[in-house]
Amino acid sequence: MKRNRMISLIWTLINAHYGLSKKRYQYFVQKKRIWELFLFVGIFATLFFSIGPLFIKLQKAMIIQYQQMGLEGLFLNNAILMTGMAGFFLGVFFMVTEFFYSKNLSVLMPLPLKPKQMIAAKISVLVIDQMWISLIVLLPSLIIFGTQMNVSPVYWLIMLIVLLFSQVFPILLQTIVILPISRFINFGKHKDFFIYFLSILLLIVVFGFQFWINNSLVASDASEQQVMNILANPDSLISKLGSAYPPALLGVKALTATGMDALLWLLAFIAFHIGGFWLALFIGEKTYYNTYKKFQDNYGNKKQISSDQVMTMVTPQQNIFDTLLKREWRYFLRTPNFAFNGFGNVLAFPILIVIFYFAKNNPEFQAMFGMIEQYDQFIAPIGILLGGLVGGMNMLGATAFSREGKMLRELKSLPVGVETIFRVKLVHVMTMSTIGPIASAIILCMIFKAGILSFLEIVIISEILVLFMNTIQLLLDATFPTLNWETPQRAMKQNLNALYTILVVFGFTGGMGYLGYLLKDTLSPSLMSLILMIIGIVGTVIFYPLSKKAIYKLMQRDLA
Amino acid sequence: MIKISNFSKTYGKTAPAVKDLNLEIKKGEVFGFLGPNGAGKSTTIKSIVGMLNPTEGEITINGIDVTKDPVKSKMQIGYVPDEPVLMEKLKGIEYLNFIADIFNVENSVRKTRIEKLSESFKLVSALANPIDTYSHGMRQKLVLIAALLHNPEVWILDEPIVGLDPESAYILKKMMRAHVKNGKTVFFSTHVMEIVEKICDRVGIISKGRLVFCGTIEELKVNRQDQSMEEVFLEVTDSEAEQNDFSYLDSD
Repeated sequence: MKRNRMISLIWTLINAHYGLSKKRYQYFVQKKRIWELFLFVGIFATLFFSIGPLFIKLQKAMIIQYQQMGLEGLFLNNAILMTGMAGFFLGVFFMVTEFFYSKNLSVLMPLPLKPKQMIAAKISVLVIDQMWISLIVLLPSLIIFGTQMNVSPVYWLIMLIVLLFSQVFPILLQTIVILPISRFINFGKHKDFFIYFLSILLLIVVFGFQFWINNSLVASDASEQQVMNILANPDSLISKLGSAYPPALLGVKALTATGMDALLWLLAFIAFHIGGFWLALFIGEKTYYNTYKKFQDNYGNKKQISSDQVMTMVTPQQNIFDTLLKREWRYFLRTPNFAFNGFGNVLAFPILIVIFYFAKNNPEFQAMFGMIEQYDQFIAPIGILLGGLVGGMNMLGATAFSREGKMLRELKSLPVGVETIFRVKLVHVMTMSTIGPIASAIILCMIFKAGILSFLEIVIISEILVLFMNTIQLLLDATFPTLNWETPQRAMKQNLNALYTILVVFGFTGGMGYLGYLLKDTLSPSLMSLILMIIGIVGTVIFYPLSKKAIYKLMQRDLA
Repeated sequence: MIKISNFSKTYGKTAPAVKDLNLEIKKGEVFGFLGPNGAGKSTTIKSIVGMLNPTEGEITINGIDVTKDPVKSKMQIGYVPDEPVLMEKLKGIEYLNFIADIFNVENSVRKTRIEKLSESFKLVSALANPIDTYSHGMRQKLVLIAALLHNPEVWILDEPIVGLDPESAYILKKMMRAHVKNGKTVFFSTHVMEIVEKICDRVGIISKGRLVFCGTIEELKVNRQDQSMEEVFLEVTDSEAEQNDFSYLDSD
């Protein structure tokens, strides 16, 4: 293949993915939405200056602890491992969408491109897209390590290479596993569901494996002798942990070794990734196009059915609200990306809480629970804020209109009032969100052995807070909807409104939590709960009409 | 030349979308592919351009098997899909450059062809804008320009006239005739009978996945001289549309 074809393919996919030309045109030709640039800078500056100092302080404290035990390599190992796991977790649906459901495939498939060329280009886009994870999670750790340990100049060069490769392995692993399985298993008409199910299964297997490795190596009941052995030979611990995630082992060795050793480990690190890349291309060459074509099969029912049979499918008249609510659920559940992301977001926090619960014997968790137990009389306000956080973080409100995409034209063309549309969206989002507060309340009440009254207090007031935050999210998405998307992933996980929501929800619950901590000697727990309830009610009353107005404006807007 | 031999396509365990199709479209021929909605036209076209795998049979483009050597066969084709799907965030000119890169179109050739084609379809000034600012017709024009950019031997056009203004439709028809005059091939599907009558050398009519007619317009009209093309089409495809009673439409 001529070099310029491959470069052209990769550059075009990146340009189309990020909408670079479109943004340039928008900002510099049309001179529209320039405020977006300032908003971006503002958000990142706020995050950097608010969380940054604390993060750096924590990292420095950690590195000193590791250094005292002679385990400083473990600090790097954990950073690389966490970056890879985060990339794996956040990238798996994106990979599936990009390989099988991206609209640009309709353009690319009829072109004279080999499967391996397409895969190489798609992997490039995926890796670049995932780099933000490395920039946030890995880069600070690498820099802090370098500055704390007074490393040689070679370290900084190796660091750059490790950083650039940090998202390659997660993407390759997903590609290597999912492509062949999708090719050889006939999923029939449920193919969309199964491909996402397979992705989740892969995630569970990888996380389960990691959990098992970590637990078996650093068990809470390790004897003093075992701990001494680990401390006496830190390299063996890193090697064992690295066997679960080879890039971490190779990366750590390259970063911590000196002279020729460092170079050799670096070469091994690069060779490992190149090997994985070729394996992905090899598997892709054999399987990708045929899998994609299989996914294009139209499984419409070709059986002849009579008019009478059709008549049995005609439903009796329903009111407009129920009809639209049914539309909302069907559209949500029948777009696998929305359904899996939606349920995933809703269930992620409760699952984490369950893991915390079952891991309560772990010393770190014991310490955490012990800290919270000091404030067990504050279980209700803590539970309310946790329920609000868990219920408000599912991003469904923040993507309610974006998920419509071009279907918003259909909604706009229907003779339906804005109030009905708003209520339908809110009921759908609230139904999904309810899982969070209930799950949080159950777990907290189990851990702290609280009664039914505390449970009800947590659930009811959390729901009020979630209603308030969902109303804000609907306002946000009605004002800045992402309607022109090529993959459903763009409407959900890659939607900027999701980022804004993280700020709103974390900001609110975190802020209230901190305020509660400061006022713990002044305000009683009941008064705190009451204040949170009042904030929820007042906030909803204020934001409800604003959201409705935003939806009205959206429905009036020209939709090209 | 396109040769379709014993081609069948079945989706899962359902009835075949196309069954045992045999067609040969020669060089220097405009071939119209007709059929009601859901008859199997797009399935056939998508299989020709390598977007679907045949369940049975073989398809070759200028002697190249589309399944065995997809890249080489795609190099021969200029394809316009039934919907103008494009990478919308790109500018029109960026999209054309991308297509020219993929088809190895040399710089001087690409400049000339982009200029001529975009002038013919009156799209020059829009090329600097992002595609998502285009109307349906403009997107269709861009897809057409992209399909013809590398001067393909074989044009595969799935309902190319939809969305085009009368002037562009006229230009495209003239281009199709000019293309086959140079010994090349045009295979296109349409629902516009007037176009079929005016420019096709031969037509194939597919109904319920089976080819029910293949021949010239004159052969199609044998014994049906007093009927319009529309009526002939309805007859050949066993349509009952003429017997329909629509009086219920305006009753309560």
